[in-house]
Amino acid sequence: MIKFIKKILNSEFLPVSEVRKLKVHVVMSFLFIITLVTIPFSFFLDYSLLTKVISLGAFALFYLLCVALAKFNKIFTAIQITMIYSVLLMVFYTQGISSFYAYIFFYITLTIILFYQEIYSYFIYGTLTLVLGILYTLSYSEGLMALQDISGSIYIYIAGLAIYYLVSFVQIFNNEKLYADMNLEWVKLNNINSNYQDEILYHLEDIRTDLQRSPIYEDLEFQKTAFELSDFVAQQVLKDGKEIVNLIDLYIYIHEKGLDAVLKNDEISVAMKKSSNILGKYLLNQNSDMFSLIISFYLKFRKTEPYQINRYVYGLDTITHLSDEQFIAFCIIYLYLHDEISEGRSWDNLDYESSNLDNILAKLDLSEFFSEQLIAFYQDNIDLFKKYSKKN
Amino acid sequence: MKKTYFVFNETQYYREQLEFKHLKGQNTLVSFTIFFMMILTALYMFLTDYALVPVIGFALGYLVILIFNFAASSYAREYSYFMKFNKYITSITLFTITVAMIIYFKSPSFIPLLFVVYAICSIYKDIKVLLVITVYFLFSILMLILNYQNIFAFQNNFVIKDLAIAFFVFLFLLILLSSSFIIVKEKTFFYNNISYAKEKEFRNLDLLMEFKMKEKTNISHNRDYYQDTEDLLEEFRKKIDIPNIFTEKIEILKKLEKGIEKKIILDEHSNFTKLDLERLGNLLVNKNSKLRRLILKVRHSQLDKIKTREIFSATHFQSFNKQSDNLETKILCFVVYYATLKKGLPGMKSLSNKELYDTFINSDFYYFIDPKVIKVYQKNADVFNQIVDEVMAEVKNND
Repeated sequence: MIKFIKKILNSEFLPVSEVRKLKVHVVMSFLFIITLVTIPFSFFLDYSLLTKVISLGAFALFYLLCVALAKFNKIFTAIQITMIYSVLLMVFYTQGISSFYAYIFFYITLTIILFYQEIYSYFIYGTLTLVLGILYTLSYSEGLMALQDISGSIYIYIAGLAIYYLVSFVQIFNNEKLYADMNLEWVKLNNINSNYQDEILYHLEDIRTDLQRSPIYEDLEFQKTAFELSDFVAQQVLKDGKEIVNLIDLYIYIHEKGLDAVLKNDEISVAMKKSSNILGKYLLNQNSDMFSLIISFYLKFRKTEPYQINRYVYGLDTITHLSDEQFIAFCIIYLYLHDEISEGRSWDNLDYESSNLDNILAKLDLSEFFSEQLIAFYQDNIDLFKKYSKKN
Repeated sequence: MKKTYFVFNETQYYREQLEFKHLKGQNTLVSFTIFFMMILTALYMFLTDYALVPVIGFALGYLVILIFNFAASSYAREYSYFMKFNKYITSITLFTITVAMIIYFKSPSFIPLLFVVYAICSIYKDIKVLLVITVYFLFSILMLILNYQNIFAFQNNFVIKDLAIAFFVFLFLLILLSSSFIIVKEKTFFYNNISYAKEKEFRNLDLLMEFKMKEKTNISHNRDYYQDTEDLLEEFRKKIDIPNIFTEKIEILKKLEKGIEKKIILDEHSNFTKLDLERLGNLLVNKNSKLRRLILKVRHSQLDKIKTREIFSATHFQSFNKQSDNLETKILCFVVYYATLKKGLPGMKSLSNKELYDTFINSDFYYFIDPKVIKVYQKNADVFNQIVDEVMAEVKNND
């Protein structure tokens, strides 16, 4: 329970897929409480004993289905099932009694559906809940009205539910757009960072060769440290530590032979190939997640300029505001990039034979770096740039 | 264990910038909803023949919130905290108006409006606002139950009515709070990761600049960039027939590149100031200049088109705590990571035990590692250090 609450509190560190799973667990916890409470509450509902028993049995089975789906990681199906489950629970409660508390159930169901933040699901199940809510309010009005109520109070109930539905819908739309935009920005930044790290890896290899040092995975000190530490950790958290030793052996072997060679080797078992594939994300001699996180750790200790509001603005106008100087700078940038690209680099993913600078620039959003005037200057004078980009 | 700082300290400033940027849109949405509620309230009261004074009273209440909203948005252009302040004021006053309506109309039909107001306030996606309105919500319900029992005197007197209402209102509030909380955390996830990636990019550029400067063959590509630029701009100038505004500045750039003293340059170009030279110094191509930084940025911004599937892929979240990996892989990742940092990559210094412990335990890195594994390290950091020291000594002795 404490672990579960901690997970909710620290959910900002979980990727979207895991948050989705967490949401299913949270909803299932609430549904569990409601289902449990339904047993004593069912005594007060206007159903026959047989209907009550059958309904409660069906709810229990439905709940077990949700548990199984969550257990086998069928999260999208589990989401749909929990939504249907909450709608059915709502119908069970509201058709059995006329009371203010039953009316609250429409809000509970809408909130559960809203929680998943999925437009189509909300539109289908949310609209169904709203329609049922309006019908309920009109049909069972006597349970909702006070002894001396104001005129038109039933319409206020309906308006309240409808506004809640609409506000939630607007929220989902807003969040959907916001999260999609932020997700795209984040992915772009990650890809750009990956491009930098390709070059960083190249430079580090260069430095290592100059220093005449062997790669870290061949270093005896490193290998022994990894073996000893993994053995120690495995003793604390695993019943059997043998598996981890084999895994480290495989990890070092992949570095020596290369992932492709290991995967193509017929003498290696399918299970080992599967493990190799997973370990491929964490290799030290490639631009992997492992390498990226090592670089992040080092970058943390680098001294850097104090923060300023335009720290991440890379436009040429932040370097010089004068347009003649911007023209000069743009020409230098063009000529320099032309040389870089035509000479090529081993770390680069560019296809140099088919790539030229103009094609590359055409794919870039140049407005991030240059003014409209400069972009127009470049586009109107491409021939001039091509002419001078040739070395004398 | 609660972390005490971000991986990069600068992250917090950009997070605030992002928050402020999105707050403007959220505020517009809230203002629009308040306006809509004001119209509905006035319309209801008008249609049900209420006296003019209470109609104006409630409409004025909503109007005051709206006016405050507009004023705060305007002032926020100068001081962003006006916008933050506005979130609290709007939420509290909106709740107050709704409670006032319940008391005035003495009808349970207005109670669901508290749920609506809660939903409106959660548009702000702020945990502190959520906590404030949750407390206010509970306080309002308690106050209404204790002081205005006639509101809950329903025609259909259900046996355990009070208990059922209290239970389901509480349950509803709990679901609403936890769902809003996780939705806020989802937003925080993106704020954190975008800020982290931005700062990482900035520092990656710093590191690359350092590497480039250390390169044996300085990449001037055997070209005189200033001369070629001058020739290109000269032809362009003639083409569109404008005066020569480039040559003198390019001359200064050549002199700065050669390392000629600024004082001598200023004597030769009397119409230029020290500030001009400093600015032009940023345009040097073979130095650690801002222009070189921009070139690196443009050079690496080349991206293939991002597919929709890729956008929502969990693989972008780099950690050693991936749902898809088993515990053995997570242990391996951590020990390899630890051993590499301890050993140090060529050209980079190895990190001290204190630096490693402090960063692993007190920063966001804590959450990048499987909880079981990081707890072993946290409890046994001395054992880790001892193992490393013993291995190093053993390897040295064998050598």
